[in-house]
Amino acid sequence: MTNRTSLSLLALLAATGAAHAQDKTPLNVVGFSGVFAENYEKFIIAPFEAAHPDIDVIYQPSKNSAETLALLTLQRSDPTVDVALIDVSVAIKANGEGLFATLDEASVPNLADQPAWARIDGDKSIAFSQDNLTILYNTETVSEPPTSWTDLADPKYKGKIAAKLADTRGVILIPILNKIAGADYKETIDPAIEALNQFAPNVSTWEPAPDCYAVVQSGEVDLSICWNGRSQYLHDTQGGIIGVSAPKEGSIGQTNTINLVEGSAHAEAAKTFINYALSAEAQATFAEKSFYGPVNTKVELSPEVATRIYGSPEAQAAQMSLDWPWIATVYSEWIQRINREVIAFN
Amino acid sequence: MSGAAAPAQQMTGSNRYMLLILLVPGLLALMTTFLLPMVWLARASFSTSSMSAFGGGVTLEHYHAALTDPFYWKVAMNTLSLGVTVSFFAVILSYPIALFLTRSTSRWRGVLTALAVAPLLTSAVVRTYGWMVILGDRGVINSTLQSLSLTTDPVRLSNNTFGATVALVEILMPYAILAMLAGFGRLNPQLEEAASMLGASKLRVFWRIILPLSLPGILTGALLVFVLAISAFVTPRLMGGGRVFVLGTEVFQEATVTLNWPLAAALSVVLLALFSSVIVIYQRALRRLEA
Repeated sequence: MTNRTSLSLLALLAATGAAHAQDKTPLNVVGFSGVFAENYEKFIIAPFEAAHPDIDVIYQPSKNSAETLALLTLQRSDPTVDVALIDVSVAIKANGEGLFATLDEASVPNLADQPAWARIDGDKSIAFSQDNLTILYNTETVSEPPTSWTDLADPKYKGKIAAKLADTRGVILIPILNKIAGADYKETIDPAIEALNQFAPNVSTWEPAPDCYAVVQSGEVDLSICWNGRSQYLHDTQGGIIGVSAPKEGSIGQTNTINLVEGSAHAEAAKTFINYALSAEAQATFAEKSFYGPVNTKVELSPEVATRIYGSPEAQAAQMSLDWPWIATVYSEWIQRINREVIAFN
Repeated sequence: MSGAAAPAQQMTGSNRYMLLILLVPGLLALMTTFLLPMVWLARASFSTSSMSAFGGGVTLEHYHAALTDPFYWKVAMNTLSLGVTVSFFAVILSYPIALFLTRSTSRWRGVLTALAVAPLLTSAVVRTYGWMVILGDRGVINSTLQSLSLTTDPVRLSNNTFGATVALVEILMPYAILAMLAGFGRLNPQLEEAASMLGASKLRVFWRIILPLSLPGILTGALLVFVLAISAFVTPRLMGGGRVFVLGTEVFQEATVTLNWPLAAALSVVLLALFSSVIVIYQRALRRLEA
């Protein structure tokens, strides 16, 4: 499937690359599509290009990280992509194949401001933003918004929940539910599976279509478990029908990483760009505009923005992060357990 | 070579040459879009490297993983039973329509035939969404039931195997009708007349004359629907609400979520093997029928 799409993407990249290649250094960035792409171009790439007139950033949205990975694998001997923005779990997979180059503080000084957990696989992949898993609700049908992850098991939501959990969403929900049950996710996830089975009878669909936001907007379900950034955006742009209720027990973010592609022809320009993308200034702007949690430790968020990203002060204090390289080793096993021990029975 | 001296044999020779040249574009297209990906897929299913099909060594572990896991056996059984159910209902529902269209002498026959296959003009995705609107918790059926006070809570008609089956039957019916129309060539009104004249009742005519003669068409229709149903991915995924585990959805899951490409490839090959065995059985059955 990906072969043909990748090839056409390649051709497109080559074409756009050639058109821009007069005097500026072209820098091909492949990343997420949709609102993310819009915001990233507006709030990260545009200011960067203004500060670096000699670099021309060409942003190519990719449908998902799996497709980006396919593209990078296909052109590993002669990459046209210089910088890739992908999910942390996919990045770790790509590092196993040696697709990304190691970064260092000499050429990317802002690395020093990233917390240790964000510098993954020996500085090959750097986390730059986190999009929290949250509960969204239909403000017209739900008068009393849920405040806790355990509210999902409330019988009043029977047949009223959309939960796509057989992917990163489920992998993130497991440690959250585990923590509520007082267990360590590295030891056992049985408590989380049990908790999932407690609210599973309330779930109407495990495969909301077209996505986990639209089913709440349309009123098809009352609650949905999905990402905060997009929910906040839809809350603001779609008449406030979607409400976001960050549970008090805290959450975990879907972590996005920035990566320098091994063998990139414009590695210097790429490092300059990565350094800017990791800066406190860029991350603060992106957090304010798109409600993705920043990673850089120097970023200070206003209380309003912090609330919209992480929820109440109680939830902010309970915010968690994961040992992603470790998670990568159990990722498919956990999804398998969700599929076989929860979804298949409900 | 040229002129009057050219014997007939050479003419056929150059004709054959022409034919080959004409075939080349099609063959090339088939090679690149069908055969090469198949080879790639087959190789990937044996690959030790999880990402590059041709890099890494050769291993049977993905087949071992797929074939020793009871879950995948269950998924294969789900796939087969979905295929059988869908083909059964699609054939039952399409047979009267196809029979009517074949035997009709109305001048509207062409229009009616076009209408019967018209749903093919819309993509399966769109028609699946249509079924979601009809069968959903707040869909046409449930809101009718509730406004008639027949039910209070919504009856779950979608997001399960039932919904996936209903949608697939409707989506695949035009294929069944087309296949049957093509396969009903041996139906002959004179045979029916002869049977009636010899005193056979209508039911008997149907049972002894029409049904046996239309059996090849029925089989072709059933086979086509079966193959399309077991390879279906969009409809089971969207209508099944994640609860319908079939080979198509599992391949997608392994390829795009857990990124285990060799396992996805191995499952695809298993699906292909399923197809092939069904086709072999079908051809045997057809041969026996025609013998």
